[in-house]
Amino acid sequence: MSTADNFSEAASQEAWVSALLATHEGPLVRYAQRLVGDLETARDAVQETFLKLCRQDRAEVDGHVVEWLYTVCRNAAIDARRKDRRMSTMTDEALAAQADGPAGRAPDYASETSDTARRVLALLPSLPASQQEVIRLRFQGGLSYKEISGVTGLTVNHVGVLLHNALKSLREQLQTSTV
Amino acid sequence: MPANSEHAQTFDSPLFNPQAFDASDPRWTAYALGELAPAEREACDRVVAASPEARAWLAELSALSTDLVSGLGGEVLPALTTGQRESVVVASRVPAEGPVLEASLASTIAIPPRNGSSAARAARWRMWGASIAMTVAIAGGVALLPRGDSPLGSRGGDRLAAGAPARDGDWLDLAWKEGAGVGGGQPAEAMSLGDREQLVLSEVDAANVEFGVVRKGGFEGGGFDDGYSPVAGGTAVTPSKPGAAKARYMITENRSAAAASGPVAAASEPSSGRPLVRRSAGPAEPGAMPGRVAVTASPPPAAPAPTVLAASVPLSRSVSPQERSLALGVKKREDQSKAVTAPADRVGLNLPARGTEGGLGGLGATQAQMGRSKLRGVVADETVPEASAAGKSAKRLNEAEAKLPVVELQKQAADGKSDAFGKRQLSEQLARVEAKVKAGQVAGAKDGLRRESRDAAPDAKPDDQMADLVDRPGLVAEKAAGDKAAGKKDAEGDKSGEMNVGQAQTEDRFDFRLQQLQELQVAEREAIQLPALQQVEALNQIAQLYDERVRQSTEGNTEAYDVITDNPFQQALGETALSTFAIDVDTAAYTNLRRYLNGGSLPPRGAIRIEELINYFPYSDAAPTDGSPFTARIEIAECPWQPQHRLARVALKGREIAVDQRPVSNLVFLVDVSGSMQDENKLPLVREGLRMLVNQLGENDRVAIVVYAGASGLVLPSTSATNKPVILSAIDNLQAGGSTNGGAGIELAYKTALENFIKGGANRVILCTDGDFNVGVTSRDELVRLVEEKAKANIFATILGFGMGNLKDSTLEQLADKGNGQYGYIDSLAEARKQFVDQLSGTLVTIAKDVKIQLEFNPAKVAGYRLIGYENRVMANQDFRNDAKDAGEIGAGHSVTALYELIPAGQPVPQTAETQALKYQVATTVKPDALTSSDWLTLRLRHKAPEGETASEQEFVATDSGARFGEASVDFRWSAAVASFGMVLRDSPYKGMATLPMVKELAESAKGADAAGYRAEFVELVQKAAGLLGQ
Repeated sequence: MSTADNFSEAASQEAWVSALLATHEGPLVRYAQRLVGDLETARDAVQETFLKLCRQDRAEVDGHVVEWLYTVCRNAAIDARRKDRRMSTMTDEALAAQADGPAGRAPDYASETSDTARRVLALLPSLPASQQEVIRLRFQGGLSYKEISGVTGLTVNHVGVLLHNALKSLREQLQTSTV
Repeated sequence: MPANSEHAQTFDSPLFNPQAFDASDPRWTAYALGELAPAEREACDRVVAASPEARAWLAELSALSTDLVSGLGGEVLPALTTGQRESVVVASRVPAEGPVLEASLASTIAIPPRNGSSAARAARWRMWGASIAMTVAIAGGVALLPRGDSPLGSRGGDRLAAGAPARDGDWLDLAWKEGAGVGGGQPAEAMSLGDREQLVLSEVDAANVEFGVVRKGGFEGGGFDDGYSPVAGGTAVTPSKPGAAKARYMITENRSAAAASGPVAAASEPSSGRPLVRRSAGPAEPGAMPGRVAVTASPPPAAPAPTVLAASVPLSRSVSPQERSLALGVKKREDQSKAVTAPADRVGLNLPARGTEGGLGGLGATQAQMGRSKLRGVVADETVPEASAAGKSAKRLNEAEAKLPVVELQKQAADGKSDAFGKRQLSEQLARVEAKVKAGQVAGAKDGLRRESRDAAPDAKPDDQMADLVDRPGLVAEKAAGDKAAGKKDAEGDKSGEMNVGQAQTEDRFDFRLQQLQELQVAEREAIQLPALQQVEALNQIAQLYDERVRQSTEGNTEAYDVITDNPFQQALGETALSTFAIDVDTAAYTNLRRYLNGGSLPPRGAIRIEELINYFPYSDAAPTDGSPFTARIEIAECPWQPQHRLARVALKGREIAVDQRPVSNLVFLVDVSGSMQDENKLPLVREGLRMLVNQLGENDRVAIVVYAGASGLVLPSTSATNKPVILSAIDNLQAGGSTNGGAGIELAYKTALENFIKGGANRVILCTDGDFNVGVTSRDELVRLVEEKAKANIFATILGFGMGNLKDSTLEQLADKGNGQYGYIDSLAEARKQFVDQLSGTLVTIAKDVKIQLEFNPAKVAGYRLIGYENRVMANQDFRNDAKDAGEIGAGHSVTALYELIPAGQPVPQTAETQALKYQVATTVKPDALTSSDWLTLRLRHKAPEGETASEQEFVATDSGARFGEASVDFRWSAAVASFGMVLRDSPYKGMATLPMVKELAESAKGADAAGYRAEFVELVQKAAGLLGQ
């Protein structure tokens, strides 16, 4: 297993992983953070995701690597969340805090973000968790319905309904707040 | 109730063909987001063109989308820490090993391969930002735009930037079209499940799998090399074994026609017969034995699971063009030349309902080959459901070869009995595949396999592809077996059964899973309408369940379990009047079972070791008071699942040692800190458990810590327990990261233990791992040999399994067996406490080693018997007094319980191919005094002191008081309840009347004092299992 082939393979593997890391690290950490509510746990989940990616045969994931990353990351995050819960009994307050999650605080934005965009984002936490998740996967991760379905384990139909409801309620809230 | 009503609207029509715009319909949202299929989109375009309302809505939605994309895209995103990022980069420098299936299986199964490239995805992603504003401007004139993409995003992208993603195969139409019905979820789910579970095995992997099987066969076969077994109950043909047990109840009479001229053998040698319960299919036998199996209703010696997958290799690699086209016809992947795909679901079904348990161990190389070839046919059949010609020929075969067991299996499958178990077959198989892949990476085997399949290819007959697939395997088998007719017939017979069962099960299992998912969807819909706080909780729970389901078919299945075949009934006559096994105090199977059931799924059958379930519980049997290491208690009463049978409970209880009298200990913690250990329920639990243990240690105890990952190292040299802060801080500093080289770590740990050896003390290596050795010495056999060698220096091993997901159960169990140690599975703090604190002295102090049990049954009372559990602990009778043979260890205060199901004299003993009577002799005559004796059985115990080399022996005699089940002791009833639970979960052919409700009833009536609540927890688990099995 230690031939010249492997060296070049290793080099390209490294470049591949690095590129993916550069593009998806942030969105994935943010995504995981929404799921687990805690930045450190989220980071661990993302690290685990990328470590798994390193052990992954590239040919197997090429073409759907983004969906793969989100799926693995989601599983890791949910695992972590479940373990947290087992370790310490959650109080209602803690649960509520987690539901709001870090989104309860005003998120940081890059300066060029428009006002309306900020308003939309401010409304996001009002949505049910499942809707927030699909919104993020769609508009932050750029995943298709089918990919979201793959990541979340929901049916494509269900993803459609969640997104529909989410957009609908965002629109309605925007209208009332503008009027 | 908006969500529900929308669902109803959404999924009523099979094809979305709107006549008017309806903003409340999710499909319009999908349209706006570019998710509809072309036909549907065109229909929508027409409506939009005619509806100002629709255009206004579209504009509004796209503005919102733009805001979302730019808003979310503009968020300042958190990043990994520098250390984390570095660890990833470092890990990426190690080229992915071909057969690391842990991840690749998961991903391959989880995610359907798709046509769109990642570049296309990135383009789409970027486009949101760049082009949506433009789209808004265009939206007013939607109808004028060319067909071909989303009215919102991608279409705008089409115009602005050439090269917008073509997304064939991505269409939503599958889901919408198939989504008829109120719930609407199932057909769509069916599609995605089907896709998701595509199982792709690379050629290399499969070759390794195959090798694992063949070698396994050879390995087990090696067990028979230790001596010739007498053909009859002791003829002069074979050298007599020293120390063979004297028969208490029988005179052996040799009436063999073949041996008529020979002297009647000494009556003193009945015990040196060939191994009793072990499967003994040597190379000479397969021709004959399987034939018998086919006729009797016993589980056929099914091919071991991994061969199923291995079977797919020859299909793509070296088959005739006809076969290739057959196989390729339904493949969904593009790179077919590289890998063969078969829906995992179907692969999982290739085993007959009970065939999964067909012993791997006893299959000689010949049978392994037959199994592989046989399954090659099955895979082809399952892969090509539409190939009617092939199907027909398979059917013909079925009809021609229909035999009793086939019919029976079909019936079972049709009854739906096996649906819940089907799921487990899949996971078992995946688990084993991975284990084999990891274990057996030997290039030679691959070459051999290729050569062999090339050899086989020319035999193909182009006219009848299916028959060809069936025949060729037979030929391969024949070559090896030298028995043309029998081998071939067997291959066909078994195969036809498997195919039918497989098909029936496909549907059963599918329904089962769909139903579960559907229930979850309903639950989720309901949850959305709950008040916020409850909603979060409910949705979280649902998400977890979803996750669990997905996990079951993907990641979770990298666990490795061996196949277990129930011990059959043996006649209490002649050589089989003796039953010998090594004791086993492991309890990991119970903890593992609990983890599965609490996680909402049934464990793989291979994970259910009944003796470990029974031995998990404390019993009230009295400890010895006379200084001997243990006492035995035997009780015989009615068998609850087979009332005409009797049940014997044999209980050993080890001497108890108070904590303050515990010998001084020299402990080396060997901690796996590989990447796979970083889960919350692994390394953190290890730290907790070790901390608890260290706090129990006294001033004379010593502790060292060795870690292993990519490299191994001594992080704490042997340190006196007076320095607890030093030890504790070393424990706290354990961090996960890297890959696992268990082999080097084990070497180092034993070396450290040896350097600090305390004579007369407890010298022990405590391995904490998920067993996922993926670098260096990964072959299980090699590891086991290493540990076995070290154990000879009186350094014992405790193996503690942690975590879930890639627990290598079978490897760990074997390590503990050979390393003179115990194997426990720790899934929670409570379990860590049980292992480290409550049972500390038992866990650390071995009071006897190489403990063997031999029972001799009095044929005047007992016609036949069956040992329940201990399948992998059964020993050859002549090994009982062979002190070179390793056996089980018992710790202070440990109890060991074994159950035997007894058939009273006068009742028939069911025969299987394995237990078939000898051809040339009617074995034995019962000794006159045995006829008048009230003995049912004699128990002999043999053991060595922990550091001793000579063994001593004790003997106990038992009679049947004739007690009914209800009159038996609480411990008797409890162990019977636990055993029946195991048999039901394993779907054992011997489970008789046992059902989960019955188990529950038995258990509830036998809880006893149950101070620690273990038994109450068991009852809850039974309840959970009943829910999962729908009983």
